[in-house]
Amino acid sequence: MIKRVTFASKSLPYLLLGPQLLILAVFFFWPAGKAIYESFFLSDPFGATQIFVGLENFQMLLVSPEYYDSILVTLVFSGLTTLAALLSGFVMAVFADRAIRGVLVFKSALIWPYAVAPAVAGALWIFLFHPTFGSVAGLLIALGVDWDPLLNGAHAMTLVVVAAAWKQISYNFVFFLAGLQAIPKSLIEAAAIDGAGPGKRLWYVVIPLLSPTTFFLIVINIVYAFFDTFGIIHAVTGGGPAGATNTLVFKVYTDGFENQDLGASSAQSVILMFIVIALTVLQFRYIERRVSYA
Amino acid sequence: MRQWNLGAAGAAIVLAFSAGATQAQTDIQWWHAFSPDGKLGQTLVRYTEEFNASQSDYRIVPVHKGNYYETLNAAVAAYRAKKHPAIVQVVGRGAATMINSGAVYPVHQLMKDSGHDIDWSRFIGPVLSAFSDANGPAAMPFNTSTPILWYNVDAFEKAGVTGVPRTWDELGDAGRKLVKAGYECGITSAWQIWVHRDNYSFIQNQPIASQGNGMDGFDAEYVYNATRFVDHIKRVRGWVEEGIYTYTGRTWQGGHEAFYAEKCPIFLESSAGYGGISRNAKFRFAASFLPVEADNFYPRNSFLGGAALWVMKGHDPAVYKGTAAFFAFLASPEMQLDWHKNTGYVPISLDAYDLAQKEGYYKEFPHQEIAILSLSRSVPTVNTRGMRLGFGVQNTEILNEELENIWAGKKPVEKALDDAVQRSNANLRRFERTAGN
Repeated sequence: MIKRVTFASKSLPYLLLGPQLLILAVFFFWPAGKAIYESFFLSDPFGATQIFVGLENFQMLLVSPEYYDSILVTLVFSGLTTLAALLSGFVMAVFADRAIRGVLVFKSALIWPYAVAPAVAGALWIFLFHPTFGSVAGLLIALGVDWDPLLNGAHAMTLVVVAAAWKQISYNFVFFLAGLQAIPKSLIEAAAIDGAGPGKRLWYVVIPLLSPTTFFLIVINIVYAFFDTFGIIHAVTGGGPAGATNTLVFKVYTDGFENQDLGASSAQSVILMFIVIALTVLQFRYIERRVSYA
Repeated sequence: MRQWNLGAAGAAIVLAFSAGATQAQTDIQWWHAFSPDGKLGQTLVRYTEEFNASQSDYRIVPVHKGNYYETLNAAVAAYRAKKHPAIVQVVGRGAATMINSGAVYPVHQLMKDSGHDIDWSRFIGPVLSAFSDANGPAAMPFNTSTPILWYNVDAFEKAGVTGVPRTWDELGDAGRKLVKAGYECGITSAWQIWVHRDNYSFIQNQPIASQGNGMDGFDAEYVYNATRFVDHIKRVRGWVEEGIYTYTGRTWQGGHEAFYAEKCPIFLESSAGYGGISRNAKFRFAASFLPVEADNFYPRNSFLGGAALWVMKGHDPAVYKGTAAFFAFLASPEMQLDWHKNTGYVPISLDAYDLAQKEGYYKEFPHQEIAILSLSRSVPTVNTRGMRLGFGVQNTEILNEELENIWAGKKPVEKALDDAVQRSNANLRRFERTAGN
């Protein structure tokens, strides 16, 4: 039986929801609506000329090989970033959960990267890995690695994935650690008494019980990789070399704000919006089924 | 979309603050792209302070809006919200967008309407023509530079390079000797499109696009995949393979670091790179003209870079009177000379140049003269008057991508340049539809 709690007055719930709805309307529905509107027009930046072009902006994207490259780049980038950030965050949380001394120090130190602004993080990584002046790059080259993210797409991709994942690890770490600490010790002890080693306990007890946290983090990390990594890519590779790190969001920015092509940029935003809606629906329908909120 | 809202909000806040100032004075907003933390921004702010102190009717309020793109975006957003500044600094490649925007009050008109009699013929021709419409200069040139050849004199001596390379082939020979002498990266360049396409083509009198590089009509098409530029890129591609030319990125930072660290003793970079080079180079350096082809005995004027000041429509007459007075102040030979000495940008008027010569400034700093000589060394031809092509920023990025494909050996030179031209021409056709109206 589900308990139903109802409000006595009809207007109160709307009043309570009001502020949130207002924020959503102003910061989401209005700009999103405007993007959809602009995607049907070809306009000059200052708005002097606006020509209705129907679906031409979309058509232009869908016949452009660069756009498909960008989709592929985004999938690779988001997949790798999510995987790297989740795995590292999880491993660190497992170790921090076991640490006996200095837990507070480890926890605080691990949370720092999250507080660094993406542009600053990007600048930091480029100072380490730029082939002509990066200190770590110098080491790599001295070791005989032909390190050149300015011309080698795979190197550039590695660099932005590591930089983007690095920034997100802290967030994942905090949630995984909280999740781990919420698992009753008695369950783990029971498994240990039944003869399960640390590996088996992790696999059969801890990971299934963590699934709500993991699912939440997958959704958050994919959204992060899609949207919030713009600053890092901007600072580290600028989408290069030859489009190798030109993700969909970065392309929206360059087309809209550097090239002043509002129509093309809006059309890309609309497509991106649908991709993310589709991804979220997929995640909830197929992955969430395997999550137990015990 | 978020940036739009922020830009408009920022504009609103700025206006709210300025509205509280004294009523007798007219405030004039100037949005610019030079951070007040740097030398350029500090010099700019000092000029506004000097102007404000020199009279009591107007007050110029400089507002740093971020880099060139952020500044332009802020101005576009503010214009749509009717909260735009009177003066905005816009990067050279934005000239086509600005001139056709319908949002601009042309500077020649502004100066005439305000009763300032400016002798435009005393300005450096190719600088002015880059920003001119049919009736005269539409914008006020502000920070103007051009690429030159910077070199490490100590390294030249050590490697036995005698004389400064005059031709591109001599440059290659010098690079070869330098690498042999242990300088690992040889030659590098900042802003490769500006150096290798724009300035190579101007100096060699080769077209970049039809219709006089777009100066004569919106139906221009890129043609650089069928000029001597193609052979030039093949030569540079050969240098990359040979290991005597190193790609250090699309902008300037990598090249500067490689030059400071004495890895690349030859650096093709803006004359305005002087500030950084003079501060960071721990060796003797000098500068010369960008190289030419061996058969080129009449090198043409080079192509400028930097930004200009545009005046936007929709303000009170008093604002425009003040703006005109400020421009007249900025254009004075004394101010231009001060700007030249402090920043490495060139003075925009011949009077300022004469003043520098009279002072003997170039005896002490000969490299400061190279840019002026290079910009003004011939009568401009149809190929060297300027460049006014829509989506200039995007088309530059497209060529950057394709050049990266060439340097990495992923595409043959012809194929990559054909692809770049084809992709960019599609953009020009798109631009033509809104600009032509």
